[in-house]
Formats: sequence, structure tokens, C-alpha cells
Amino acid sequence: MDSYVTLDKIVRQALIANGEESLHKYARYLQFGMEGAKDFYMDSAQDVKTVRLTMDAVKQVELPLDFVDWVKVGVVIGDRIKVMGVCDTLPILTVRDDCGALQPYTSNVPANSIPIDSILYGGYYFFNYTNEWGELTGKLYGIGGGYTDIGYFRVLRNLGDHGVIQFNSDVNTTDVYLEYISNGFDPKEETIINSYAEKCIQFYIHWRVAWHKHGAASGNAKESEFQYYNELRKARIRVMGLTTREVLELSRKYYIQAPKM
Amino acid sequence: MASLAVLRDQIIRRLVGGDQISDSQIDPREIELLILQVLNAAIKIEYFTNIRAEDVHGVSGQYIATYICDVKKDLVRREDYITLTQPFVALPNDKGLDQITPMNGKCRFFIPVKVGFSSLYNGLPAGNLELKTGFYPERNKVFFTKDIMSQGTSKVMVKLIVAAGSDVVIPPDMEETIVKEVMSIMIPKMPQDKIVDNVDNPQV
Repeated sequence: MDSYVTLDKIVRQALIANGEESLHKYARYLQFGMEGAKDFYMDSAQDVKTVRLTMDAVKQVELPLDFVDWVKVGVVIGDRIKVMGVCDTLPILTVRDDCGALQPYTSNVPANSIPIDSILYGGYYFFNYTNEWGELTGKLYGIGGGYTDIGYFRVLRNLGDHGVIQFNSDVNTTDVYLEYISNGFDPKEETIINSYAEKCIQFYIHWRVAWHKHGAASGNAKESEFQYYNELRKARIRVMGLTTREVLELSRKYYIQAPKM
Repeated sequence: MASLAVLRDQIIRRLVGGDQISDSQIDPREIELLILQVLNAAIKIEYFTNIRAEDVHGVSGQYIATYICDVKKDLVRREDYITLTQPFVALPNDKGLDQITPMNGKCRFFIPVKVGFSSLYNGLPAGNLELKTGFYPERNKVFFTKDIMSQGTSKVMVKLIVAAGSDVVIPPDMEETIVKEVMSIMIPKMPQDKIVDNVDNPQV
């Protein structure tokens, strides 16, 4: 069994199952298939797509066409991903020059003004790392964790054609690594579906066709709906299959070596 | 199994009560035309009978007529099209236009869509038909949703559901029905006797 099947194949299987001997209802069935696939991708598929995007001069990257939500935004360093932090204080309003071209924000904080730390650290002021003569003591207490030196980002869905990710002005990389949940559709490619969900999508099509069928008894649609949810349940079990090894690993994850007194 | 010509001759013999005589006014071409008209009407009935009886949305492959058509470009509409050799049986969803495949790759296939497809599916994910090309009939032409000529397709194979041409296949179980139907049309009918009197069929 292939790990993926095309939506085209599922749609044609649904046509055959409904007694169609030609492709005249293909577009309608395809539309239903895509709706079913979208539901599956967003709620159950656990398929995370990965892209490397290039940041432009205004510290933005365009969101992919099939972007639904982000999972990880970062920079690849060696064989690891260094993740960036989410920052909701990055402005949504854009800065434009006289010609209307987008301009980058700069940190624009005078050296003797509010230290950048106080912006990054949620507006709190920290002065306990200097002594009374302004010398750094090297000890910065009270900040806590959760800050990154790679950079910060904010997803702005209403900018650009399909939304953008805005980075803070201090980010000094142009190569951004993005893991995201996809709606499963890319207009430049054929739609592919996890083989585990093949029947599930097919039954979704049957359900919707039965639901909208002119003059059909509502019992048929209800039966089709029941079959679809049964197939969805099976697909979710297959996709999210938890093995005994994973359970064992989870149980051992929080065992830590205790200091001996 | 009777061909169109055999069935035509049979009907003429029945109508004239023997071999056709030289001064008979029955034109064999008219009989052929009637046979095809009756058969095309029967195809439509068979389509709906199949749905009711077997839940099959199609008709027998015996009714498929295949043609090769040249692809042309409509410079005003900027769409590729073909001109149909003849009309097809009007079935729901334009199913009379059964299939169109490019001659330069028969494993590829075009997707039949309706005339309003491009506006109805505009912006929807299904609108790109999974990168496939759609086609829709408009009068005696069929337009394609993509520029297929630039993809190297200059000829396409068209399959129509229609009874046409001298090589038409008439299913044996249909022969008697067709003969009866054509004869009922051809048998001369007496003019209506509209005046209530004891004189039959006055020439009014």
C-alpha cells in the first residue's frame, strides 16, 4: 500500500461507487472531497509541512498558500533548529516611504533611553545587573526563561496576498525555517491524502452527495454520515497510533536522577 | 443482427406490401432518418431506465460514436475549442458528450464541466481540477478550460452518445420496437372527419 493516494483517485473511486460511468460529476465530487480533506488535514492528519523561506528587506516572509497555522518558526543551525519566540508587541501597522514602499522597522532606541531588554522582557525594567557605578555585575536575576537570542516573530494574516510573518528588526538571518499545518491544497500540485484516510474522504463525499441529493430520503444521508464518522474514527486511530514503546518512553521521561544526601 | 440498410428495406417492404415499386413515393433516406430519430429517443429512455433498474448512470457502449477533431483557437475568447461533427443526445449534465481525450496521450483525460464552471468554481480549490483540463459544450463547439494547444495537443478524440451514420449499431432487442415505431409514423392516416354526417372523410 502506498503511504499517500491522490485525491483524484479517491474522487474517481467515489464516482464508481455511486454508479457513475463517466466523469461528468467529477468537479462536484472533487469539491466535496476537498472539503473532507481539509477537515481531515486540520483536525486529524498530524501532517506538518516544512518550507525554507527567504526574508525580505522589511523583515517579512510571505505565508505559503496552504498555510493554516504555524508549528515552528526558526533558523537551521547545524543539524538543529533554533526556534524563534512569539512576540505580540511587533506592530501590525506598516511603515511606508513617500513612494508607498514598505520600510523596515528599526529598533530605534537611543543608547541612553529605555534599554532594549526592557522591551523584550515584557516592559519590565531590570537594573539589578549593574552596580551603583553602572558597571555590569554579570548577574541578571528575575528575568526567568523563555527568551531567545535568535529573534522574534508575529504572524500577520491580513498583510500581503496571503499574510506574512513579521520578524523583529534585530534578526540577522534571511533564511527562515517554517513548520506549519497545511490545509492540504497547493494549486500548483495534485492533492495527496494519507492512505489511512482514503476511505474516510470517500465516505465524506458519499455523505455530502447523499445530503444534497434532490428528493432523497433523509435516512440515506444520516446513514452516510454515520459511515463517514465511523471511517473518520478508524483513520484517526491509524494516524495517531500509540505504540507500547512510545508509552514506555513517556513513562520514563520524567524519571530523573536524584542527588544522594 | 440487422444493419441500418436491412432494417430500412424491411420497413419499406412492410409499408408497400412487397418489394418497393419504382413509382413508390417512400424515400429510403427518410426511413433511415426516422430509424435514427427513433433510436436516439430510445437511447434517452434507456439512460433513465438504467438509473431506475440498476442505478447505473450510463448507456450501452454500442451507442458511442467516435470522431477525431482538430483543436482550434478562438482568438476573441482566447480559448481552445473543437467543432463537433454532429450533435449528441441531450442527457443530464451533458452526458451525451461522453469523453474527450488528447490524441497525444490517451491515458490523460479531460474533465467534463458545465458552461458556468469557470465562474462557479472561481477561487475554489476544486476550480483547478487537480491540474487537469476541463471542457464544456456550447452549441456545436466544445471549449477547453486550459490552453491545450500550447501543451502540444492539436487533435482530440471525441466520444458522443448518438445514433448516427450508416454504420450505426442497432441492438437486436430494439429492432422490433424501431420497426413498429417507424411504421406507425409512416402509415398514412385518414384525414379527420369533422362533420357529423353519413359521408366519410370529406375532402375539406
